[in-house]
Amino acid sequence: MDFKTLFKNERQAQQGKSAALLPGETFPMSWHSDFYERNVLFAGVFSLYCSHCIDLLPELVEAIRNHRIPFALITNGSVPENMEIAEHFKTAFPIASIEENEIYDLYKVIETPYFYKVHASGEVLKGFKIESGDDLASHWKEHIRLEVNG
Amino acid sequence: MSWGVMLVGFVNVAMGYIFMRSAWEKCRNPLNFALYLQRFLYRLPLSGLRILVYAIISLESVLFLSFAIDLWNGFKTIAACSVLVVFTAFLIANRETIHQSGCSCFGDRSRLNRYPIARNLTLMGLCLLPWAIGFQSLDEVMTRVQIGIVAVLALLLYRGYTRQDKRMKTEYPQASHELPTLVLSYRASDFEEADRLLADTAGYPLQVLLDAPEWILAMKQRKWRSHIVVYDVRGDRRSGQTYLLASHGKGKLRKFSEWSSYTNSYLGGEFSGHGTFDNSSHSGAAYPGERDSIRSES
Repeated sequence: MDFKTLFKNERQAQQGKSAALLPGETFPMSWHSDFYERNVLFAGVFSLYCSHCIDLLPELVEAIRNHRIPFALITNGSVPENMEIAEHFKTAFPIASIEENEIYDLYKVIETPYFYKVHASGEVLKGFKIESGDDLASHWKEHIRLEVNG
Repeated sequence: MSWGVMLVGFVNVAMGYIFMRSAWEKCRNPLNFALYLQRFLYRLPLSGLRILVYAIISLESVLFLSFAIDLWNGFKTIAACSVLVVFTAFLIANRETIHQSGCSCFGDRSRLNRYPIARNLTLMGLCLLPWAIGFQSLDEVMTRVQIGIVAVLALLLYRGYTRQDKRMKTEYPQASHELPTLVLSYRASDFEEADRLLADTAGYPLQVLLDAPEWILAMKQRKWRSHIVVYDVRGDRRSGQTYLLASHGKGKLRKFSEWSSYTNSYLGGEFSGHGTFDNSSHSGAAYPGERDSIRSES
């Protein structure tokens, strides 16, 4: 046994997992049609134990509000915790609670935060990561542009 | 003075320092090392592990003295290498756990703890160098010089520890001296583990210094309602690693890297008699000499 094997990183083992739901697959969650805009909605999968998620959330909420982005948040927080998030940020978008294991088992997310663009039919259009609220706004604007251009 | 004699002197000073520092670190917080050993020797009660810790401290102290004053040539090399072989075998056998958490041979000082197997192998090589040149013993003058160097190193170490203890008094809220205090950041990789531990309703409250945005702080104050959760104003200046502070033994504040084991034992009442705290008058942690800028649930 060599020394590299002795200290094999867990992250290397994780890299063997398949990442993200693919376009065309059915998204595991659906929402009332009122939450979709231009037939799409952006779903963000967050972990409340993930510092990137916690840091991103305030500016994400601001971007969603400013650009009226159709959005739904999915977290591993409990229902009371999600209610606190909604109350603190005065959010208008739905916040759903899932189990820790479902982040990967259902949503195929290895590293949070992760986002999906979901069609009103429930079909995944694409999965992506962002670094800022402006990045999400860019995705939304791109969708509008594509729609306008047909 | 031959280079061989200088080499022997250097090895004696280096090995003496290493064993002195290792023993001293464990001596300053034997409970932390016992909790560390508990991860691997979980069948042994904590009281038994404490005895083991003191046995290790004694062994390291004997080795320190024998290298420092150049005693028992040959024998001390065999003894030191044997000890290092046993420790290294232990590290290899438990490499999964140690890789994730690091070793605690040198307390919570992380630099010497980082690559423990490589470190021990290097020390074994260093220890065996005098063998390679045929056990050149030191004359009286060289022995005195060696003892002088080790004494200076010991003094520097003592000064460092004294400063560390003084800093601890002012760096943390006064309440940390009365109640075990968990220092935690939302950025820590073990934030989830801490959340699960603290969420259980407990009869023994902890103080939690939490570095987190306001909305996370408020959320955790409600979730960890058995404990006193306050905002850590100095959180952005800390390393981000989770640890626990508690006064034990001589009443000095000690840092526990084995915060999870300590918390489990504490919440289970194992350290009963400790942690009595009048929560009724508590309105937030006050740092000595600083205005109270802590938010707490009123």
